[in-house]
Amino acid sequence: MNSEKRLAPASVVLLFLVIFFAAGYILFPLVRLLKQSVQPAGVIFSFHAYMDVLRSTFVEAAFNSVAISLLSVLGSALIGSFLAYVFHSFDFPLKTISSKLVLVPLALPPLVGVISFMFLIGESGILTRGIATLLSIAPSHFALEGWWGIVAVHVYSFNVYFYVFVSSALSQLSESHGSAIDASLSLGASRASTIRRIVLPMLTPSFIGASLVTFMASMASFSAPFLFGGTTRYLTLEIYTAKLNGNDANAAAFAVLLSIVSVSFLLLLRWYQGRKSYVLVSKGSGRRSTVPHSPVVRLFAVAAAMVLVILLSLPVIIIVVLSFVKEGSWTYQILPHSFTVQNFVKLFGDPRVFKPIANSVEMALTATVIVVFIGVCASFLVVRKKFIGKRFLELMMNVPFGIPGTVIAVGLILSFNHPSFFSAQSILIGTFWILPLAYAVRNLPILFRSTSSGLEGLDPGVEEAAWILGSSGWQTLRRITFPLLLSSLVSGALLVFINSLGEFVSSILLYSYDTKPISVEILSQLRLYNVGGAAAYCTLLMILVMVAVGISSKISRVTLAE
Amino acid sequence: MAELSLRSISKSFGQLQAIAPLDLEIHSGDFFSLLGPSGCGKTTLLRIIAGLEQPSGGSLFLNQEDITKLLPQKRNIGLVFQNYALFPHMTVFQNVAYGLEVLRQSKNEIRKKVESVLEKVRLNGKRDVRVPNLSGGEQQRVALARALVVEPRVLLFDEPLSNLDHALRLETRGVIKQLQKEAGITSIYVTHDQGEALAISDRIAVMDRGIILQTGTPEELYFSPANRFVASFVGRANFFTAEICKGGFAINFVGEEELLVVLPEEIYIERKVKGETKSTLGSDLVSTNACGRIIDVQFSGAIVEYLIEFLDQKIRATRSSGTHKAELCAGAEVMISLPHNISRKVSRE
Repeated sequence: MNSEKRLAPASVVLLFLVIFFAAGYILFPLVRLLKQSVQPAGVIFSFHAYMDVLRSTFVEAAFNSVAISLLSVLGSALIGSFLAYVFHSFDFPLKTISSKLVLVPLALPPLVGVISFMFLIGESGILTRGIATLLSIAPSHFALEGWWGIVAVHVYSFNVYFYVFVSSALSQLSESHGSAIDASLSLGASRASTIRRIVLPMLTPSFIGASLVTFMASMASFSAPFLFGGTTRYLTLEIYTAKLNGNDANAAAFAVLLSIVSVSFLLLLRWYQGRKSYVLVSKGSGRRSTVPHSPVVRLFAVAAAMVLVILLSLPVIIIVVLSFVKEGSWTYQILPHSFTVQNFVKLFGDPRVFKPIANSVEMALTATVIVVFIGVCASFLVVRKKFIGKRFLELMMNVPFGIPGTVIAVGLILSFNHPSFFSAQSILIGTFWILPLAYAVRNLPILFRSTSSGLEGLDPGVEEAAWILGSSGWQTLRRITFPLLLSSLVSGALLVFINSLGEFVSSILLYSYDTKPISVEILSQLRLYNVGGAAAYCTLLMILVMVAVGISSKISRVTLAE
Repeated sequence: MAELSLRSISKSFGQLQAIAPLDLEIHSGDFFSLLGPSGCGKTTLLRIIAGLEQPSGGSLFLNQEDITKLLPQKRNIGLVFQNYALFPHMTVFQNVAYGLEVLRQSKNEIRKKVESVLEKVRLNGKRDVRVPNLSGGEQQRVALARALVVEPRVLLFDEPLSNLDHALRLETRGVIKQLQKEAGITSIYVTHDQGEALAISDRIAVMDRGIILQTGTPEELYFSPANRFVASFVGRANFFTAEICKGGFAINFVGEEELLVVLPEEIYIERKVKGETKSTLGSDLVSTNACGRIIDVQFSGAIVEYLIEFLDQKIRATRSSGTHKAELCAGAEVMISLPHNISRKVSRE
């Protein structure tokens, strides 16, 4: 305990490394963005870029972004909460597998979700063409593109936030004070008023939490508006377009404005999570307590949930089916007709096709190593040590969570397209390193949080017990602390790896020919109308993700079983 | 065998003084208890002895050697934690072997020692079980084995039984006491349960608000409390301003500086019979010439406890349940008598 008061030399070195990373790759790019937005070439200070942006497309793009995000929140809330309630309240056949299927969008790389939607309900999608043929009208009449297309993809991807938040709140509700429901019923309240006056108020915190997360994710969404939005202006797209047009100042101004919105929502979220929620500590078994429903309600609710589950699994099925489509064979037909395993043979047989896979794996691994090292050091320092600026370091570790990937990518470009102190006076743009760095920055908060909460959850007595038995600080760290943190560390690292593997948002801005990752290659294949090839990449990504999730849940199950 | 002495040990957390400077001698081989309500500083004192906290002042001697500044790793003092603090990722064997492994003993040696200590705590059948799969009582015994196996000079217990149910508590208490006597290890036991402390200890220090109020054998604390707190905490005693005069006790007369301490089992009650004001008792009991009213009767097996309203205060009387009578029920008027030879007194404060 006394050893925690002053920083040991080793800790000082680690602290220096963590501060270097946070300052160089998180703070510096943001400062650089700000500077670029008010200091266009040669001018000392000007709001010109902001005026320009405000006069041109900002208002429209901001309106679209906010409106679409609000609609996404609404749709996600309805579907996610409904599913959570049905899964919590009723037992029905295939429940276990269905509850896993509902979680799929959480692990699916966003790009894969968007592409599967294109093939499902886009202008040349299977459902669109099917209905068009059935009713013999032009597909463009009801193809979901633009606004509603983006909303549909968002609801598909983000309803799972509501599902997760509301599910855990519901099980907490019945575990820690399930008798509140029973009490209300026994006091003579009707089912409806029990739901309205007991269940819903207790769920409010998780509704708000999920809404904030969904809103942030929608505002930061890039793949959906990029591939599905048609001509819809969206803030993240405007940054990208301005950057491609070489207008750095306008891109920076857009990025700053979007960041302000996102970071304020992040702060709102953190403030809200910091407040007290309705969790009472009580003893007793976790008996499930629910409001009883009539069989008719039950039947309809379960049937509706099953339809939703099927709809939510459809995109994954479509991708897998399409991955067997022969190159160039599927053009105007409703359904593809000639299939082959050639796409998968090529993935590993053709060096040109395999290259993006090797790139992505290598860059994702590099990013994971960086994130694990910085994240573990940072959480140790923040949780265990006392030093000046600790709160600020903690904030820095969390900031990338609230900043859209497009903004981070543009910040990195502006910072490292010329020699800089943080890149050892070399230019990083165009090299291998810039992509892993971007992945690392984006994913750092995930690992930092999982490790920090793992460390905080550790009983300090366990380490004290080791000291008392004569075990040195280093022995204790190696034999007690690290093994106990291993499961949260491994699952955090796997999550970082799979996120980096399918990362699209910053990749599209930062890749060069030699470092083309899977996600960008998928896009290239789509542009070449090679549906099968693109889908095969997507399928491979999904398989890798499934393997990683499997390993992670196996590890946590082993730890839980102990 | 080791003796421990604390000289003017004190501890402050910021403005708050957790332990006022105190001296304490713990004899070699003693089973010594620190008894007090929660928040009295007893656990802090234990952590100072273990080296997990640095005292704000004073020094700590183990066999005349100053260990105040010694790291916990170097003290060779064992500690059994309240929540056991077992290593959750290890088996029973690995938990117990850990302390020997860090001392770099040979594999053979370790196996022999661990098996022998596991036998003593009756856990040899569970050696390869991971500790989270054990029951509370078994985890408690692993913690005990883990602390014992390294043959510490002093063994510390931080409320080790507070997470067990009553029956298991009594059983484990016996195991602890027996193992301590066999090994002859000087032990310090922290508890807030006065019954536990009385039953298990050779000597006890009663603590309140960072101060040691009295140190002594269980009998000394129970029958000769030094002050009102000890009398009330250890013996759950009643207090009267009283003295014996002709024909009985004069209770609650004003002006007395000291309080008479009467233990619950010393108070004799009998049902008041109409018209009669004097009790007809043996010669060693003296009536108080005053009546009380029973508020509550609690039957708890071997004894019956009566809560009585008596001269503007609530007093507690107990009887062995064999002598309980149905007429002594809530609401009954009773005559109160005390043994004539009580002379146990404490000051008012």
